[in-house]
Amino acid sequence: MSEPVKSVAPVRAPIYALVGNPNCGKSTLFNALTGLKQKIGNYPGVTVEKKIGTAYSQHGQPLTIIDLPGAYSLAARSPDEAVLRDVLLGRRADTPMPDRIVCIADATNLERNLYLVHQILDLGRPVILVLNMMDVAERSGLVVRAARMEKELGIPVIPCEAVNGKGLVELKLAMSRPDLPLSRHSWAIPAPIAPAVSEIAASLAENDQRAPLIARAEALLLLTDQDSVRVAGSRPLSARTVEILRSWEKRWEGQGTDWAGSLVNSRYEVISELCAHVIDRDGAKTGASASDRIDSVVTHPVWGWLVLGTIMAALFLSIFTFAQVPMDWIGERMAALADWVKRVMPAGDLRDLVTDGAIGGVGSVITFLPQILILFFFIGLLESTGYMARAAFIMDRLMSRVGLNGKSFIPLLGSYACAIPGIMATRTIEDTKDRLVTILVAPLMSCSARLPVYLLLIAALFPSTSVPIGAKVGIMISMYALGTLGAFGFAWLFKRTLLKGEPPLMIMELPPYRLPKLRDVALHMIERAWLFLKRAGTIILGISIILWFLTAYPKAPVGATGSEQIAQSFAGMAGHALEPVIKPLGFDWEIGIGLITSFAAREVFVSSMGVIFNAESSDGNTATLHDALLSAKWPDGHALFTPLVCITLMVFYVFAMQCVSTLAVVRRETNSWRWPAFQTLYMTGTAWLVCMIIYQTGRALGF
Amino acid sequence: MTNDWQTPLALLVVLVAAGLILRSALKKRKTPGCGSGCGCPTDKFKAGLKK
Repeated sequence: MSEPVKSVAPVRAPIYALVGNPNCGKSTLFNALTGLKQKIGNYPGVTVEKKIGTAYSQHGQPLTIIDLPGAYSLAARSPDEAVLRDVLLGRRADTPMPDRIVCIADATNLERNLYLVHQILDLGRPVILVLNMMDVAERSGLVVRAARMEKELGIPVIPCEAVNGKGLVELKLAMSRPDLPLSRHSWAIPAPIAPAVSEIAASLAENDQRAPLIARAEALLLLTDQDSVRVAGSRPLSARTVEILRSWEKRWEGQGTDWAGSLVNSRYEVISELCAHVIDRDGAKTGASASDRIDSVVTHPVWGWLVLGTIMAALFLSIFTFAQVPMDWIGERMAALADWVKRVMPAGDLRDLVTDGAIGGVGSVITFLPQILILFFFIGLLESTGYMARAAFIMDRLMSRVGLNGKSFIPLLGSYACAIPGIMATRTIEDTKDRLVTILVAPLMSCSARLPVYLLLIAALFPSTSVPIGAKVGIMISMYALGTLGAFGFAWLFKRTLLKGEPPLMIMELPPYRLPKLRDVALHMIERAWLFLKRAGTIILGISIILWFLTAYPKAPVGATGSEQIAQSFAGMAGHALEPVIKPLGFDWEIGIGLITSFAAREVFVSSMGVIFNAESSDGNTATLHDALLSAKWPDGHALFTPLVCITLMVFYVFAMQCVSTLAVVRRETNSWRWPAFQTLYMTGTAWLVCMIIYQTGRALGF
Repeated sequence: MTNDWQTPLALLVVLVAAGLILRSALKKRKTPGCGSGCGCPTDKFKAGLKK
């Protein structure tokens, strides 16, 4: 056997790319190598953009690591897969071409995972193959001989259990090697296709300025994918290359040769042969696995919905049950802090700014921290167990009826936490129209910023503790269901009008169930709690301070009450200007101020109410916000926050587009201001119309 | 502290808050959405790679 070719060690710190099929553990490995806390989940499509971090070799040398979105093949069909292809082919201006590649393969499904590995070996760069989930493979009775595989391929092959940290030292040792062997991999391209590969590769090198190995890999992609525009990316191919490609295609069509099929089959033949040598399936368990048995219930057309409903009910029940005590505690501490400031500072503008603006605004929002933590605890559990993919499966039946792509479910599900990552996750959707429809409806899913608004209004709706908790849970589920149905309804409408298209098919891998990693769930909760507190301490604090100024100036004559002061303030003027538009919905000018300020972020409504109603209280003591809302009145003396108004206001927040950050992301993802403008108009217009119907009907019925 | 001192100080705090919000809004316009939480490479990092 000849001595393997060694790669030349790069002079600067080497750049590694982590690549592999979706849900094979790339991000887990990335986090373990870099010490970062990149989001991970037990379902495909968690990573949609490249992530960059730094690891250190055994000798302390920095190694740049690029975590790339998962793909089954280099023939990209969606924007996230295109990121992988373009980075590996050196097409991204913002990312250097990786010097070395770490391929991660799921050891339980090696044959399928090796297809991408096989394509990557064609790139002629040093590759390290990581066989992840070796523990799962072992439990299912598979024996994967890594040493044999290393011998066959001629590259380092590292058995690994990324979630337990096993194999990381060996991987780091391999990554620290100054010279990595290049693969001995070679495969026989089918004889009728081989001359075409050579000719197209030569043209790509000569006329399209591709490096020789890249040219060969791209020639193979062009012949497999049959969509030259998609493969070539944004830079069009030269006329000569296109001419050669078309002439070969024409020749094969005349001969009845399935060139793409034969290339794919040829690769799989090589992979099958390799697998036959390295995998021992003698002990493999046959019959239904534990995951299959669980799936027979959770993906059942009837029981599946019951399980999903039970999980949702448990989530909201936990929010109402477990969050109350810490929420009351935070609320009392905030009120005590405001009262203490009032005692130690003389009366004046600065004291009012601190108590009514800063503490009133921020305090009213951070009382909802326990609920946010519980929400993300549940989301983290569902993500890490693999249930999310099952939820996508059962929802697909409903979603396909409204013309939504099944792949839309993960972005929509992600939007329950925040629409921004949800919209970014639409990059996994191949079809442009389906992707746009999903982007347009994603903000209708009730995000975590709406949670404080719903909870505040439910507290105002059911002030008595004697109200059964089930009623509160029921209202909460109704709001989430309304948002979801709204999203489906609008998707149905858009698919039949603006963005007509064929009903899509969903192909989604159901990952095996795994026990949740409580550490990961806890880290996810801490991260979200930190983001929530950061928002409260920055944007919400800033807006609360400005809102205090707008409610405190211009000054009313001496002797005016708190509500008289606000009524003639700048904020009051804006609220009064808006009142004619929102009065048909049962909202007064004070609620109008909250609606204006919460365009920055929905939870600002709560802080705004905190500022407005704290400033209005004239007894000198700080009341809890929901008590202040309950005592709010219209000028004629009737209650402002009636049950009907609370429900209407919640429905307004279900539908209205109240988040500038989301609009900025939609603009970036659609590359136009047209779609965010349309989104604002249709969502806020719907919110107004639906709320007007609810309020006016409610009034007519005597509520 | 008297009431006379509190008013200009409070207005100064309001001005600083408004300035900071404006600054963050303009900064976000350059890299909208992620708020640096998504792990995408920063300009500083990219400059380091070029070296």
